[in-house]
Amino acid sequence: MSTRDDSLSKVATLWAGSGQASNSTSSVEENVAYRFVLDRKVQTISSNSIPEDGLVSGLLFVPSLEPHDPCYDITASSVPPNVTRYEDVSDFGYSLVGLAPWVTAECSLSFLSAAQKVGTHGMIFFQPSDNETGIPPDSNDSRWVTNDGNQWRMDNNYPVYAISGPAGITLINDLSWYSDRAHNNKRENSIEEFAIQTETNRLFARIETGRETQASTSIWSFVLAIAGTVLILSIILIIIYRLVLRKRRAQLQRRINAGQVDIEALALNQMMAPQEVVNKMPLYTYLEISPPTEATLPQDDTSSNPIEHDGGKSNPLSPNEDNHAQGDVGIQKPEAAMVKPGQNDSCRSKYRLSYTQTTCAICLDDFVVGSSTVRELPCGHIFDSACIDPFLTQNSCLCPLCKKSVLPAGSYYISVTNEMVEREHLSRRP
Amino acid sequence: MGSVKRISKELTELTESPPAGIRVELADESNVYEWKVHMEGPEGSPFHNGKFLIKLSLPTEYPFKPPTVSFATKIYHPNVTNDEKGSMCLGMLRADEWKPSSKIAAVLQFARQLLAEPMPDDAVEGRIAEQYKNDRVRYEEVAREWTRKYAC
Repeated sequence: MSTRDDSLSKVATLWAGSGQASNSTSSVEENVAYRFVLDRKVQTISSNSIPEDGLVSGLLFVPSLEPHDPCYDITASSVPPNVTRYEDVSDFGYSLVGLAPWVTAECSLSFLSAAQKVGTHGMIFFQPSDNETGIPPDSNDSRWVTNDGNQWRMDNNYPVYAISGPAGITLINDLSWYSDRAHNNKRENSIEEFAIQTETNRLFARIETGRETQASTSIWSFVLAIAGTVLILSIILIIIYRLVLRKRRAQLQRRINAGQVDIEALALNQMMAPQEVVNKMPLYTYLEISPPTEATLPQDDTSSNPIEHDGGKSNPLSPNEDNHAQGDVGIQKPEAAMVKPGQNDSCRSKYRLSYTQTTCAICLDDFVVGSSTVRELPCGHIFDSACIDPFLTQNSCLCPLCKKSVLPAGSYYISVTNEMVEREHLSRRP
Repeated sequence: MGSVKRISKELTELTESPPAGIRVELADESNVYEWKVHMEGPEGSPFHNGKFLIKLSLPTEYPFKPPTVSFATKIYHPNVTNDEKGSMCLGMLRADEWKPSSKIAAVLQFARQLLAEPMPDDAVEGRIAEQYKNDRVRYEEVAREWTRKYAC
């Protein structure tokens, strides 16, 4: 707050509200003689009708209570007898700002309605009993509660502020002194004051709140809006991305189930066969019966033998091992038949590949006629069941000889992953 | 363990009828999983007359999992790492290409074949592979020199 002796014969009070520091101070006119600045120590307890620029200003006065109002006596100790009253400021044509102590809620309501009556532009309260010099508590604090259920905030169409008790006492005393000095030169202790003593001096309150707060609020809301937009866009993108991935997975799953996908190309050979699938594959004892003649076979074995295909397509090494197996065939063929007696022709043709195999490729032991229990894979290769079963269930679902999957089409016990989609996509591209 | 039986069987076969230029023995008589392989450089290759010591390690899951092959003797070759490990890169030894029906004899024969015919497109030593492709004479010179120096 500052006072100054200007052409309008008033004393200006410059007042910075909460959130206002340097701006308001710098806006104070240089020739102000009295200054009382409460930077960031003004609390808004009712923002009713606060101007958009957050600036409330006017000549300070203390609203006059009715003489018979008990509050007149209750607040008398906090209100010096000769403070500036409405009659002292009404003639200047300035807007007005009331100042009053908050002693009891009822009396504050009296002050508020008195200020409302004379059309004040704002009201400032202080609690004389409060010794804290900081910013008063906010509008939700219990000390601002009135028994009308905060109806006063609605009834009085002007903003209400609070300052600390000590600041309020200083202010109301200064208001009294400046109001009084034209008539009663109590404090003639400076030449400057003599010079202005014949003039009328009034304190001018200027409360700026919210302008900076508003600005920062708008910046924050701008930032928030951008962040929110980015967030929403990201979420939408992520959702779209996930939907696309899900669709692709479903497509691949369909193609796998339809048997259109080369499982080996997907590097799914680490995939294992469930026990129930293994159990469904033919299991029988390697038996000696009279060797099937070529004539009994429905077709030429050598051309349909997967071993042959395997030998033709695999790496340079494979022919060696497969030739070895076939070499054995040449020697052992007469004793190598293994179809169970009594099986019908369809079974016989089903097992037709078996007679060319005399050795288990896993343990490299020859099958023993009548005692080896062999498992035949869908590709026709046979192995000791003790060797192949753990291999299929714990190692890979691909035949150790020809790498064909033992899983029937449409029964791949896999859940398609994004990685598999990617790999399958790549494998199809070249 | 099934793997011991199969490995013993393969060891017996390899000892009784060793493939050309290859002699195998166990590094430690009590451990069938670690083999020492003595390999002669194939004729017509710059490794001819060299004697290479190869370490063959078999996993306990053999034959479901592939063995690993490494050269204890230093060798100048695109498919053998030029470090103290001397790992040999064999396509058939990769976990996803390995077949339990592949036998050690075949692995070793393939390795010997690789000495005669390097596979520069599948190289682990890119520099040597480049040289093999672009400057065969120089490659053979260095390989012969290394063979003389380390493998004789």
